[in-house]
Amino acid sequence: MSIVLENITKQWPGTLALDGVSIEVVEGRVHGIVGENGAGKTTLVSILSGAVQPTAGTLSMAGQSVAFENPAAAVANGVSLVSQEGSLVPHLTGAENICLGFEPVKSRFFINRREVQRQAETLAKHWFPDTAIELNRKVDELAYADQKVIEILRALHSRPKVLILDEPTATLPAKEKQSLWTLIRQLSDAGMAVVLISHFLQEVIDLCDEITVLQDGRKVSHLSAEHHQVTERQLIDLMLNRGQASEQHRSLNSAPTERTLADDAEIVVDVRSWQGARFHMDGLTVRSGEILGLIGLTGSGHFEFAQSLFEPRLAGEGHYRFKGRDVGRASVRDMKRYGAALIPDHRMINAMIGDWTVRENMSMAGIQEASPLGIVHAGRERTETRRLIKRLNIKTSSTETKVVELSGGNKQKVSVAKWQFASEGKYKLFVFLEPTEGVDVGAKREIHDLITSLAEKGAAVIVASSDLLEIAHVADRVVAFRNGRDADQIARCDFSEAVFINAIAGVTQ
Amino acid sequence: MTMTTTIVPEKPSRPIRLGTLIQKYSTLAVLIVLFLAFAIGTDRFFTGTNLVNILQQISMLTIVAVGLTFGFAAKEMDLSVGYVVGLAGLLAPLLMVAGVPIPLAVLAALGAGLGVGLINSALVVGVGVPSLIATLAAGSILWGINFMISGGRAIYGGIPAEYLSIGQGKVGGILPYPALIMLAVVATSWFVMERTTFGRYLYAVGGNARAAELSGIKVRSYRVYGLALSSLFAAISGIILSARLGSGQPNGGETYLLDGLAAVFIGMTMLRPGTATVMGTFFGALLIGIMNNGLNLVGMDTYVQSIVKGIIIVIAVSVVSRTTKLKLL
Repeated sequence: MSIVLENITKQWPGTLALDGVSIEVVEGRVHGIVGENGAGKTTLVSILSGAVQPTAGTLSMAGQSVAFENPAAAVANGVSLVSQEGSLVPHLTGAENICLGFEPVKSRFFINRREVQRQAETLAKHWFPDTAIELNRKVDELAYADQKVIEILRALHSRPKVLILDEPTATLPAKEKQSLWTLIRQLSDAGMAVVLISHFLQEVIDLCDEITVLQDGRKVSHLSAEHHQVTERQLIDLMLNRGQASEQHRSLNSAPTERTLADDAEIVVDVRSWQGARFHMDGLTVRSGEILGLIGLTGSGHFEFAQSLFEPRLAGEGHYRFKGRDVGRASVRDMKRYGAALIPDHRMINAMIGDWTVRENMSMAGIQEASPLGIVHAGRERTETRRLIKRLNIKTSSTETKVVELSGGNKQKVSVAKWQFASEGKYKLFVFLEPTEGVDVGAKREIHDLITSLAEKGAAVIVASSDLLEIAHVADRVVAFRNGRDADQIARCDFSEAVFINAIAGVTQ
Repeated sequence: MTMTTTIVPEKPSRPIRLGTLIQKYSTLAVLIVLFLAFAIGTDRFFTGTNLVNILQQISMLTIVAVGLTFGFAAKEMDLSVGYVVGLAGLLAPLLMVAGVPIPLAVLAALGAGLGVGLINSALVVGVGVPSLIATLAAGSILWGINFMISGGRAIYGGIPAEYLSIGQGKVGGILPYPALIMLAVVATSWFVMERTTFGRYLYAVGGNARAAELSGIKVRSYRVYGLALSSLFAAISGIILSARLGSGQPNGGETYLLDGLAAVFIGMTMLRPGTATVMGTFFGALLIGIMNNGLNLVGMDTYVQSIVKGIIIVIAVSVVSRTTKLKLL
C-alpha cells in the first residue's frame, strides 16, 4: 500500500518548516529523504507518523484520504516509526518493549508473559535470523545495536505497511549497519513501503529506490534509481546549492568585494592543535575586523569548534590564545570578561527566557553595567533597551513585550542586542551559530548587515552556518570542515558555491 | 545598518485579554472577598487588635515562605524548611540554657540553618541529587536530630527574657516584634529579588539555566544561594518561634513546610503567573493567615480548616498549571 503526501505545509510560529512538499512512498520500495539540518526532514517524519499535524495539505493511503490525529492513529493505519533514539522503556525487557501497548492478555486483565515472549521471539527469528538478542534482558543493559534491533522489532510488531526509519544507523557500528541494510532490503522485498532518513548519503544511494531532497522546507529534487545514477557529490550539491532557488545570491554572482584588513590588525583568536570530542583544528588565527565563515556537513565539527571558542572547556586539549592570553582552560564567565560573546543556535533553548520581556532578555548579559552596587537602575535599563530596539530595528510593541511573542528575526536581534547592552565596544569576538535559523528574508539581510557592522567596528566575527549563501555574503574567509578536521581554507576571491560544496564534500577539482 | 525608526509605545497596544486579567487578579479577589466576609460576618474580625494579631500569626510562616521563594526562583524546592525551623528553635534555647550568651546562641542557630542549606546544595549542585529528594532526606535526618538533641522534650527554663522579647515584645505596645521582623524581611527580600542583579540572576537561572550560563551567569552558585537562603530564613523563623513560645519544641516547625509551600503556590498565581515572587508569597501567606484566623473566629474546627486549605492549594496550583508550564522537578 502506498502513502501519498500532497502539498504538505507546516507553519511554526515564526518559521515555515515545510512549504508545499509532496512525496509518494510506494510499497516494495525504499524512499530516502535527505537534506541538511533544518531542511524539514524531522517535521515531515512527524507528520507522517502523526506526532504533528500539517497546517495545509493532505495525506492519503490507497487512494483514501487520511488524517493522523496522534501517533496511535498512524500505527492503527499501518504507519510505524523507528525514531532516532530513546523510544524504549529502559527498565522493561526486550520482549516487553516489543509488545508494549499491544500485550496479549489472559483472563482479560493479566499480561500473558509467555505469549509476549513467544511473539517477540517469532518476530526476532523472522526478521533477524542470524542475530542472537537476549529478549529477556532489560533493554538498558543491551548494546546500542541490540537496542536498535528491539526498536525496529517493536515497530514491526504492529505489522505496518509503511515503516519510517529516522537515522537508524547513526549510532551503529559497521557490522550492525550491514545487517540493518540487509533487513531494509528484506522489508521492501516483503512489500513494505520504507522511508529512510539518513545523513550517510552513500547508504541512501545504495539502499533507496527513490530519493527526495529537501532544502529550507521545500522539495528541491526527486530522483528514482531507474532514471538517475546519482553520486554522493551530486546529492550534496542538491542539498546545499541554493544558487538557482534563491534570488538573494547577488554576492555570489557579482564580483566579491574584498574588505581590506589592516596589516597590524590585532590577532584575537589564535588556536593550535585545538581539539574536542568531535573536532580537531590544526591552527587558525582570526584578526580584529575579520569575518571568518565556517562550513561543513552536519556533524563535521565546525559548530562544536565555533562553540568551543566561547566555551573552551568543550575542547580540553591544545592551545587557545585570546588576545594574547592563554585561555585553554577558561570558563564561559572568563571568556565573557575577556571580551568574547556567543550568539547560539536554537535561541529559545540557549539564549532566551521565553516568558521574560524583551527588556529582561536584552539586559541578561550586561545588566551589571547598568547596576551600580548591584542595584538595577531601572531607568537606565529601559533607556538602553529602547536605544537597542531602535538601533537594531526590532519590531516589538514595547520593551515589556514577552520575547516569545516576537518573530524569529526579532528574537535573533534581541539575542545579538544582549551583547551590546551597556557594553558597546566591549566584546572583541562574536561567535554566531546558525545566525539566521528560522529568520525571514528581510530580517536575514538586517542580521547580515549587523554582522558586518560588528566587524567594521573592530571585532573579530566567526559565523558557522549551514547556509552557504549566507557565508558567501558575510565572510571574508572560509574554513571548511570535513570529518571533524579543518580541511580547506578559501579566500574571498575564490568564493563560489561550487568551491564551497567541493570543499565540504572533499572533492578536488 | 538600517536606521528605520520603530515607534515604541509605552503600553502594549493590543487589548489585555480578559482571561489573563481574571487569572492575575482572581487570587487578590479571593483575598478581598474573604476579608470582607469575615469583617461582615463576625464582630471580632475587623478590629485593630485582631488585624495586628493576624500579622503576628503569619509572621513566622511568611519568613519561611519567603525563604522558599528564593529557592523556587532558582527552580529548587526545599522540603527541609520545617525541620530547620525546629532545629534553630531548639538549638538557641539549648545553648542559652547551657549558659551561652544570647547573641552567640542566635548566631549558632542561624549558622546551623545556613549549614543545612549548604549541605543541601552540596548534594543538589555538587552531587546532582534533585532538590526535592535531597531536601526530603535532609528533613528526615533533621527530624531525628531534633529529637536527639532535645531528648524528645521541650526546652524551657533559663531562657533569658531579652531573648523571649524577640517573640513577645511589641513596638510602642502595639506592633509585635515578629510582625516587624516579617515586614523587614519581606521588604528587603522584595528589594533584592526585584531591584538587584542578584535577584535577576536568580530568576534567570530558574527561567533557563543554559541561557543564563551562556550569558555568563554563575548558575551553580545561584542554585546554592537559593537553597542556602531558604534554610537561613527557616532558621530566622525558628528563633522567633522559640522566643514566642518561650521554649524549644522538638517538632516545632513541622506545619510551616506545607503552609509555606501553599503560600508560594498561591503567590505564583498572581503578579507574574508561574513565577514565585516575594510579594506573591506574602499575599499567599496573608490569605492563609486571614483564612485561619477567620475560620477560628467562626468556630470552625482545625481539621476542617486543613481541608479548606488543601482545596485552596489544589485550586491555586491548577490555575498556574493550566496557563503556564509549571515544572518543579
